[in-house]
Amino acid sequence: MLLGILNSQASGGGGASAYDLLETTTLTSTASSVTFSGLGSYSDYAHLQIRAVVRSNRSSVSDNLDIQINSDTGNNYAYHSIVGTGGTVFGEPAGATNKIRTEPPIPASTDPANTFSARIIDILDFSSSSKNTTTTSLQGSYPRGIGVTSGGWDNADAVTLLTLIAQSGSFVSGCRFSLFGIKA
Amino acid sequence: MATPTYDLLESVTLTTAASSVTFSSIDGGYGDLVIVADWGFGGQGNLDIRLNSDTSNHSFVTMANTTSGRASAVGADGNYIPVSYHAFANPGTYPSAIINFLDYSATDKHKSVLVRSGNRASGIEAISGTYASTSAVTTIRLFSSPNIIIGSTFNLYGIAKESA
Repeated sequence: MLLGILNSQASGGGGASAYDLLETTTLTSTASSVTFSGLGSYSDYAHLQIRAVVRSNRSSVSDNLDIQINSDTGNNYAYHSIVGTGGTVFGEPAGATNKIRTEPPIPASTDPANTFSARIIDILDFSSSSKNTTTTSLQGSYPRGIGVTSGGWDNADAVTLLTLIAQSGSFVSGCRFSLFGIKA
Repeated sequence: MATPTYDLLESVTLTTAASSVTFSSIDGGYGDLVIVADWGFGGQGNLDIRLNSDTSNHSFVTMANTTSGRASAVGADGNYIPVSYHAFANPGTYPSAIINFLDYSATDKHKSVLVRSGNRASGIEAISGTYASTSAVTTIRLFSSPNIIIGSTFNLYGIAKESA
């Protein structure tokens, strides 16, 4: 993760803040997705970070949280996760797919009440127009597991819109999504 | 409007060996907390977390790659969430960790903890913890069986979730 070391250096040097809260969405009703748009206005930041606390209303033990960029629903993404579930550690690769899936899944209706999953998602060099976009994330919850995901969007356009999607159900009221900007 | 955040709330550097470090009376005005820790042990050991002095309600899932291979474990309703579990540290190796507490002051959620930790000798791991309580977290205790040595550092940061 980018945080921590970056800001320690900033405060130690007495410089301006290198880590700023840009937006927060806290759901007051269910939503199948949450979108951060107008990200072009944040081009004075090098990287973006989303810190989210999420749960789904899917009638199951779990749901997936997927990411799409600039409303691209084509098979222009790839990701690779490593996940621990208590019994095993396994890899979960996917190429030429229509989303970046952050693994393991998020809690859903049959998980213990009030249990949420924490996700910290970094989108690096998001405003670059010369690189395909890369993401890294750390996420988990008990008992669904713990995982790290590296994601890619095969497009060199600047990222102007990020959509976080509950694959099968909807995010429940109380879910929180905060967007931060990190300066170079 | 952008809100500068990631505020240093408290910094501890041990000047004597100690079995624990406690952050108490934590300001509830932030969205998340982060502890950046860099420490050493007087003997072989692991570092653990206990929230609000509660001796139950802590559960976790681990994932590690160590000198013994890949590993994952779970613990339910216990008295700690590990900072390191498989990648134990010996004297002379200096583990480090970034520990995230998301929505730590929310009263409508169980608390979520994300840890990334490791040391150069025995391995690297990631841990997801849940504190099954809707009480705001006001006290974080980091503790171990072998003493934590002089010079170990523990920095507590607050991250805003609402614009100023």
